[in-house]
Amino acid sequence: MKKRISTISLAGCFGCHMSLLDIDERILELLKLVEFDRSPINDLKRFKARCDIGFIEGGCCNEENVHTLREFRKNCDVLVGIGQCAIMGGLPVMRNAIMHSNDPLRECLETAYLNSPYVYNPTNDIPNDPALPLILDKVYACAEVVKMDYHIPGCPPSGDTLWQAINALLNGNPSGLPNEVIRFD
Amino acid sequence: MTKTRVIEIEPITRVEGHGKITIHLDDHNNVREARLHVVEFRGFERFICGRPYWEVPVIVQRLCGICPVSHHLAASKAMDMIVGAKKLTPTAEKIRRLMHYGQIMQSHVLHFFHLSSPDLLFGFGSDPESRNIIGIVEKMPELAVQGVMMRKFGQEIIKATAGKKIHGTGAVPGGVNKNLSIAERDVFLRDIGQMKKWALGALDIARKYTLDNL
Repeated sequence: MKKRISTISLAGCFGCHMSLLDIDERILELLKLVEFDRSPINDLKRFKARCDIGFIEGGCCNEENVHTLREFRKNCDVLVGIGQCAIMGGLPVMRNAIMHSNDPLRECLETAYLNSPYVYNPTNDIPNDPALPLILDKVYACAEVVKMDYHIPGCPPSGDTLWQAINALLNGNPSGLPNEVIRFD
Repeated sequence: MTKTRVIEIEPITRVEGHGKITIHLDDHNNVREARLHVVEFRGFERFICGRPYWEVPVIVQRLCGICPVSHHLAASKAMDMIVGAKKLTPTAEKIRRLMHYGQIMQSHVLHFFHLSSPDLLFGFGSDPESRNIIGIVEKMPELAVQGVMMRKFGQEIIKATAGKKIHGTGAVPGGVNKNLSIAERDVFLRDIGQMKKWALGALDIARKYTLDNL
């Protein structure tokens, strides 16, 4: 019987999803083993059924990321964090602490929307539409928000690494990965 | 009292990025306004300040995992100005351009085959359960393999010029840090004819769809 998997990119750059697509023609093999629930590559926007494995890319930068991650924890038996953003916040976490700054988030917002050399912002507003999810005070790694079961390190982990890890998880024997594939820059 | 109903489409799927759409209806359920919301904010513009300059191309490419090369090259060009490299060597310019062409290929293939083709081939109104790349693999496997191999071609070019398929380190302030060997070049030349044929085939799909639905 096929396992049911789902994937999501929270505050990720989609690099880990692209790395997943780097399994290339092995996607045909993958689709014999799994069926997809919600995922950015299909139009299922909410869970249809309980999933065996959920793959999380990206950390939590806003409240919608947190809601989505908690939905995933509720609906998936096993949660796997892919990439550094899910593991420790990745690159977006750099906005948590900026040297010589007492209010890094405010400075990031002001630099992006008000003060940069090529900004054109006639109303001098920082976007605040009610439809936008609230930005969190800090960027949080996934394990700070919900219990995560496994992590696959890398930025992104290569397609071969992901293929190896997914097969191990689907077969129920998650083993470690050799050093050569989990070094990252 | 006027009631406003809002239809929310969240998240936007099968696109390269994150987003949310809100459609505002008036009293008579006509569309009053439709909005696209960019829901992400990360702060790159500020947190790169104070970092060593050679980190910038490597940091900002992580803005996007589908088009990291564009940001990598833009940052390298900015760093070229900082280190005083007014003109690149011919090799460096060619390798950077090739890196970019590799990305254009894989990103456009991703958009066309993996993300949008289900709408064109199955119809915009077709069953959402199968209106995706998985449906294409099931119902049109040769086309799916074509798309996958074309994207792989682009990714391999990026790997040969930048060092990694995603988030490489090939462009540095002042030039590049990797050459392309004759052997590597010949591997790509070997498949160029096939890639061109498949690309023209994809254009035919798009052209036929457009003409059928004018």
